[in-house]
Amino acid sequence: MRVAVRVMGSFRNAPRAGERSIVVKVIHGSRVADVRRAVGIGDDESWNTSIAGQLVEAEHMLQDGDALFVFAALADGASSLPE
Amino acid sequence: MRGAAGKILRADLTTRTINVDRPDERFYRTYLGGAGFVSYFLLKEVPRRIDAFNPRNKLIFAIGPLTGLPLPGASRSCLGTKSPLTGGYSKSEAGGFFPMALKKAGYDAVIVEGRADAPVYLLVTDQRVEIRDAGRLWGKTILETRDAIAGETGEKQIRTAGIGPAGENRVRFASVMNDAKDAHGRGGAGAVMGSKNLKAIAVAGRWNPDVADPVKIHELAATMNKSFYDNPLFVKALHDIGTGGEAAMVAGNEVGNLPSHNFAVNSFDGVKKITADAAMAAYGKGMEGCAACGVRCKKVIEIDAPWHVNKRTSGAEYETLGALGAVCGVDDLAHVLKASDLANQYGMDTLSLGVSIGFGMECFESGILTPRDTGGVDLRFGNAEAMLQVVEMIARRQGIGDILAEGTKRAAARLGRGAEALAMHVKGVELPMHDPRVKPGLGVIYAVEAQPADHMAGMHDTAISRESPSFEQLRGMGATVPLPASDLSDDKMRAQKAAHVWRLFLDSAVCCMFVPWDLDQLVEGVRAVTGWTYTAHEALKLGERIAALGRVFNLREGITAAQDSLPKRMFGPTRRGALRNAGLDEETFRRAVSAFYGIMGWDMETGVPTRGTLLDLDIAWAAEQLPTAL
Repeated sequence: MRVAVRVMGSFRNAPRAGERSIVVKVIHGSRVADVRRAVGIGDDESWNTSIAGQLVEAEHMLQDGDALFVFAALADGASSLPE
Repeated sequence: MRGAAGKILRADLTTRTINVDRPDERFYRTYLGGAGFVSYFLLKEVPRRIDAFNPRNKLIFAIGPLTGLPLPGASRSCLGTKSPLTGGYSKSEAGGFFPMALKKAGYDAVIVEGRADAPVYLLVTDQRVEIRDAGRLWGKTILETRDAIAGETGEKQIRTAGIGPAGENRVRFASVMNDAKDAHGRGGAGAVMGSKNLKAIAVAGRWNPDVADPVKIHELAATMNKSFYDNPLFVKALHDIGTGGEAAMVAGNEVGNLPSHNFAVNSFDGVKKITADAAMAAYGKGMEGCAACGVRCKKVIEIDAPWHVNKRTSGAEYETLGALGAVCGVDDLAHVLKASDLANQYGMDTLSLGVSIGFGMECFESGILTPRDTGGVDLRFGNAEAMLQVVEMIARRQGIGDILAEGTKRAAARLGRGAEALAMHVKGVELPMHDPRVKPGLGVIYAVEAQPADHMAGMHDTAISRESPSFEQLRGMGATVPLPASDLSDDKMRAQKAAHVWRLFLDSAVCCMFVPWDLDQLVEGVRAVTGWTYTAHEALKLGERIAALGRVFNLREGITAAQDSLPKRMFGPTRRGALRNAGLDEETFRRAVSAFYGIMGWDMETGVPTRGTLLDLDIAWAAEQLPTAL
């Protein structure tokens, strides 16, 4: 199945992300975390994902045609926290 | 004593007398500095139930043990007073160069009381302290005041904390500005300063604190400076454009976190036009930082005629872009940046300012305010010109500005006709730009903390929803498991308590959270400066102590658990956008508040710190301040 991924802010520098929305092919049963890895965002980054405006967690099961929005975790106006 | 000057300056403006206190080392170790000092002196010395503009109210400027050292994020001051917005406890922190200069002048705090019979400013150097005439400064902007004082004293390195016309006019959310662009914003301390006829405190000096372990401080500075580059996602973004980048604004808008149209819509079509990225691309002249800080997170913005936005005073943060932009439905960037610049020059908290104007706009659109009330101003959402016009009117308390200058709580009470439902405040302080319907755990902190509606006082739920180094830090302070943003369980409250007391320690040290300090590093810093065997346990206990002192202060002033809530709007959906089917569940929220009380060692129904808790925190004396009915 195919899902659209749009990456915001600093994550655009991830290896397979970019300025525009990209389409990623994934197998049925894939989860949000699989797509995030597919665009090259590391496991150690603080991030949030939304689908249709709703925040979803890493284990959220994807559906064909989902449009994901991936961004640094929303914090104090800076998106993400010092670690 | 090492790290500190060991002196607290007291200025009584009524009698025009200056005194110096020299607290003992136990006092310093118990309260450390910053928020610790503020909380102690407010409860000990501000008389019960006086009006915030009573001359006996106090302004407490306090710095910390690390202030004045070449450490990133360590030039910050905490300012406390009884708030004219809430009638309760208030504190806020700001950076810049004033805090470092205060340490170099040889003082750990300045406590001002009384009221001068004519405008004055306080000059504090390592050589002298004077109360000086400020008649010719009255009515001047923040920048004009700062430059005039520098010229008059001949001190090139003079640094100021001052008020603009808004503070003089007792706008209830007036700020005190460190130099020209660092705001002690929340709570309205600027109005209290205005009520004392105090235009500014000007400080300069060359005194340096004795440090127990200078080598360790040097190592710590090197480690912290290097950590910026080890953490490129966070710090690079801050370094390049500051807060309010596309991810925070656009993604925040996508999920409903960024309030728009007075928190009624939270889906703002024009959001991309008012991001930090857009501001820097169109008008950015670079970035600058506070004393000794390499993060340099502050935008330098300059716009030519007809806007005349001054690069020395401007540089909107996320909160400002949200409040003066999205909350007012304004997507014209130049207007938003001009409003931000005016807020800094006149000395107003941009958050309360934007939310008060957004409130006025909704009142106008719903017919509570008419063109006759606004003096013909078409105060509709999205009207950028009207927004700018009202900024001026508020600062000068002209027309409708005089009502909005009271803050949304009082303005709504004055207007009536259902306006209360449109007032987005907690206990009188306007909500920040992080909607509690997306960050409900932070919403509990807004509702419960002594300084209401402070987005820096708790953890943002979206940032601790999975295992991460951030969460691991909190785990070490008492959090248990990462939870979804929407969760309001007891586990979430444990995480919020951990974050809250950590932040209060940070505010006592007084260090910036944009520097990636962890608890151990900051404790190590306090040890290296003071020579004490200071521990993480002491640091977190200090956070609990400050929370309890603030809580007792508010209870004493009649602010009870009944007011520990959020605006009704937060318990319902927005008109469109991600929250159109959402809203906090009131019963779940109330249970979370009760759990938070319990976790803090407060009575789970009344939120009153138990005597055992006060005893444990070494502030048994505070029990005498509790109303007998409690």
